[in-house]
Parts: sequence; structure tokens; C-alpha cells
Amino acid sequence: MSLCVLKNMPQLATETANLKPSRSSGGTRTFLKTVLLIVAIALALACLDPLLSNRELFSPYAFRILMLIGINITLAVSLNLVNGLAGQFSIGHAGFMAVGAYTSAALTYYVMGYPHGGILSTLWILAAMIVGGVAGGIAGFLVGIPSLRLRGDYLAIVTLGFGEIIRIIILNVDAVGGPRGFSGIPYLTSFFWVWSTALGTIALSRNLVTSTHGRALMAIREDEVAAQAFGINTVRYKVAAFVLSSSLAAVAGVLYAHYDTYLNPSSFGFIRSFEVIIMVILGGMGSTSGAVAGAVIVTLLPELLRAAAAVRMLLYSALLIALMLLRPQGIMGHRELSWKQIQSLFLRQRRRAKA
Amino acid sequence: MKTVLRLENVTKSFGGLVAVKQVNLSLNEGELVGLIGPNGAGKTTIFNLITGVYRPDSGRIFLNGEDVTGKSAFQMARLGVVRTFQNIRLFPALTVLDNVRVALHTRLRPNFLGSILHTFGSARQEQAISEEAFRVLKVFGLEHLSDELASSLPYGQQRRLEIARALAAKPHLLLLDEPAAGMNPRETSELMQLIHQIRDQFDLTILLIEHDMRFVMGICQRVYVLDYGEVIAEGPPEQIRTDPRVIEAYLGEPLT
Repeated sequence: MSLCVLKNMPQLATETANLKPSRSSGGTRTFLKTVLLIVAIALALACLDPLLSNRELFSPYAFRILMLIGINITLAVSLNLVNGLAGQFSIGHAGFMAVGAYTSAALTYYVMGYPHGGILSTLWILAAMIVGGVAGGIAGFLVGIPSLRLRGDYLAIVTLGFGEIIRIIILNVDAVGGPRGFSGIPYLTSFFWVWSTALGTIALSRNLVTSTHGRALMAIREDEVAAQAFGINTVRYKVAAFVLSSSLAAVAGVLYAHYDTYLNPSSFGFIRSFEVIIMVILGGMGSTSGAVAGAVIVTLLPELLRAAAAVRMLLYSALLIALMLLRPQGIMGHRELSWKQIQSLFLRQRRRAKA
Repeated sequence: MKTVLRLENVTKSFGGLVAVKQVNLSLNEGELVGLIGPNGAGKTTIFNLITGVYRPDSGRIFLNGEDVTGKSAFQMARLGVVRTFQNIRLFPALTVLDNVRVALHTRLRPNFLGSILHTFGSARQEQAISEEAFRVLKVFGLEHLSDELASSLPYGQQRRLEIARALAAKPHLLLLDEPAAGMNPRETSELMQLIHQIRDQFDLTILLIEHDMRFVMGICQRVYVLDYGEVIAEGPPEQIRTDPRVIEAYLGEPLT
């Protein structure tokens, strides 16, 4: 699945191609190509949607894992923008996810009600995603402005504190269920929305990484003083990355809320934040494809180990530790999986098969 | 002649230590001026004051006649004051090309939304940035290393890259903090030529800190001498070389 995701990425190959002037002449052509690709991917997802959500054709268990992988990819890739790309260690991602989940759930539960009919539920979830994303972005802005002046450990502590504050606020708001949890949220999330969000997040992230703004963020990660000496308003850039990241995390929260139809504050504690950090570090800090790989592994591994029953979580931790010892830079390190690499891999295999 | 930079009675102290005391300094357009003095005399502090890393405790700083006291580092960079660092500060995990491209970032005023959506405008801008970066690398003979990581370059080339990166930002005023530090005599004389060449080619005003006296005396039109945070002498190299205060504080007696 993860391979398929990466193959569908239009921006992956353009990183080096950008430098060649010949490419720019076909501006409209590349634009058309991109639009066609987006339409094709959306159509493919829309076609897969009824197949996968059919309980007779596809097991609900596998479907659930597929959905969780999509949501976790969105979380990991968005966290990677702050932790990997801009090099700011934030550990409050679950807090932003909770902001999106709870605001959108309150909106659909209290204001919009249960939709009747397919087109309405599409509009509902879209509205929920937009409202949740904006709420997450605002939360990210409010937290980012004061805290991104801090560095390293201090920023980590502030973001950790923020995540806990959000959780405790939710615990004390009775309208969203408080400690009992929030139940009765309409089921609106579909395979289509989860995976188009995941792919969209990957696309945004790749665009940012290969853009001049992405470079500015990396410069901040590498040497903040030098970045500033070259005209980069470091606080502003860090806040921008933070807002984008928290807003995407909030959208993941929206999808999660309307998938599970039940929210509990305990699922947004710092353990959840750490889980996302594990995905990013495991995959390789600063690498988008690494974050994707990390999300897939961290979601799948505990499931694959179900056979081990009692020692399952022990094995899971041991495997994570082993991976980190063997590859401390993460699975992908700083590198990216690109369309060209995949192509050349296939070509090589074909050549080998011919020989 | 037009004055590019003027420091008026600038003072900066850290706790009880007065690092820079009532310094007056001015640079005319197109001048190449040296700033020398023993270690700890406050040379780098002056750089940090000019580039907005520190805020002066008192005194004013003028850039092209405009009061820029208290502006932050990124604002000064956008006003055309660009520097290199004493202890090279490249972006180590970025490629040589990307190091230069970062410097071009603010020159083109890119738009964040355009970047994440990868719009036409941003793609075209990206192209312009890359072309310009290659042009600058070529001037410095680094274009064949464009894909190498900055941290993998040998020391001398890292210094070169730092200057290349600074020039990519199109400065009006370039501050070089010990550009020849750690270079052998051949590299130093190459660097001297390079600095002359870029000053003419890029219409620059340059202020440089250097300990290599042959370098300073050979290249600078005027020299400021700093000791314990104060300017103890100022003038053309020939005059500085024979100034008794400078000899006492810094140069020492010539071997005869």
C-alpha cells in the first residue's frame, strides 16, 4: 500500500527536474498532467471506496487498519514538517488532533445533525474537515507564537504541556462528554476521505520540501543564526510550519472522530503524541517517505504480532529498539523515495529478467 | 563620497564587561576597510552589532543615512548587510547549491501558499533561484560540487562557499569575519585576488576582520584598530603600521 502511495506522487520526480530549463517550457502541459493525475487518483480512490467498505468483500478488521494507516500517515507526515524539516522538537501533536476531533464532532453533533443521504454526508464531512482544520491551525498559531521563540528541550516541554492542557480542558467540558467520552458522533468518514487527506498531506509536504520555503525551514534547522543572517524571519517561518502541521493533524483528528464515532480524552494523551514521534523518528527525521513508512510500520506491527498473544507488546518494543539500534538515522534517513528510483528499480529487474 | 555605514558612539556591554566602548566608525561606498586588534578586542561584537544580532546599549547605527539601530538580524540582511562567520556557519546537511539557494530566498519574496501548492509562479521562481545560484557558484569555481553536502567540503572550499553564499544575497555591505583564517599562504593570496575581483564585479563595500597582517595591509584602503573595545587608531595601512599605539597594543616591534 505504501509503495502505491508513493508512486502516485506527482512531485517526487520534479526535484532535480526543476533545475533543467527545458522542463519549464511545457508549463501548461505539466499543469494539465498534474490536474489529470489528481482526478485519476481521486477517481481510483472513489472506486475503491465501495469495494473496501463492503463487509462481505473486505474484512472490517483489515478495513479498520487501512483507515488507521491513512490517518496515521497524515499525522506523521504533518509532524515531520515541524520535527524533521524545521528541526523544532514538538511533542504536542495529539493535542492538535484532539482540537480538530472535538470541535468538528461538536459541530456535526450539535449543529448539523445526522445527515440523510450520500451527498449530504459528503458536504458534512467536508465542512467538518474545514472547520476542524481551521481550529487546529488557530490552536497551532496561539501555541506557536510564544513557544517557537524557545528552542530544543524548552519547546518540547511547552508543547507537551499544551497537549495536556487540551486534554484536561476536554475532560472538564461536559458538553463533549468530559471523562465519559463523546459518543453519538455521526459516521461520516470514508476510505476516500482518509486516503485523499493522506495523499494530499504527502503532496503538500513534498511541495514544501522541494520549495524555497522548505529550504528556508531546513536552513533554520541547520543553523538558526545563519538563517537569520540571510534574511529569514525565523520565528515567522517556524510558526507558519507549525500552523500548517497542526492544522493537518486536526484534519486527521476530524477523520478519526467521524470514523470511530466515539472520542475519549484519554486517547489524546502524550502517549499518542509519542506514538506519532516514533513514526517520524523510525522512518527518518526530515524524510516524507520515511514518515509514511514509519506510520505504516507502527500501525501494522502490533497487528501482525497478534499471533504472539501475551508477549505481543514486548516483542513490539523489542523490534522498535532493534530497528533504532540497527538504523539510528531511521529507515529512510534523510533520503526520499522518488518516482525515478522506483522506475529504475523496475527497469533493472526487467533487464535482469531478460538476461 | 557617500557614506554607507556609520556607527556613532556605539557601546555594548555584557554584564560588567564593556565589549565595545563609544565606537565611531564609517565606511564610504566602494571602500575596503579592515578591522584589526588583539583577540577579545570586540571586533566580532561590532559585526554582531552591525548585523543586528545584538542591540547596542547606546549609540546609533546608520545605513545609507537611515537610522537602523535596533533592527533585527533578518531585517538587516534584507537591507543588504550580509556577513560571513568567524567559525564557518554553513548549513551542513544541505547541498552546496542549496546553501546558496537559501541566500536567494528573501531576494525574490516568494509566497508560502504558492510553495505548498507548487503553483506556476513558484515553479518559475524556483527556476530563477536555481539559475542564479549556479551563476554564483560558477564565479567561485564551485559549480562542479553543487550536489555535495556542505559539510563534506574541505575547509578552504567551505570558506569560499560561505563567501559565495553571502554574495548570492546581493549585499551592499559585506562583512567578512576572518576570511583567511586557517588558510595557507597560497590560498590566502588567492582569496585576496578573489575579494578584489568580487568587490569590483558586485559593487561592494567591504568591512573585514583579519589577523593576517600581510592580507590586511595588502588589500585594505583603510584600517581601524580596536583594543579593549575602543578604536585606538584609524587610517591607511602605511600609517597604521607605524602608529606607536598600534605597535604597542597589537603589532609588536618589527624584527630588525
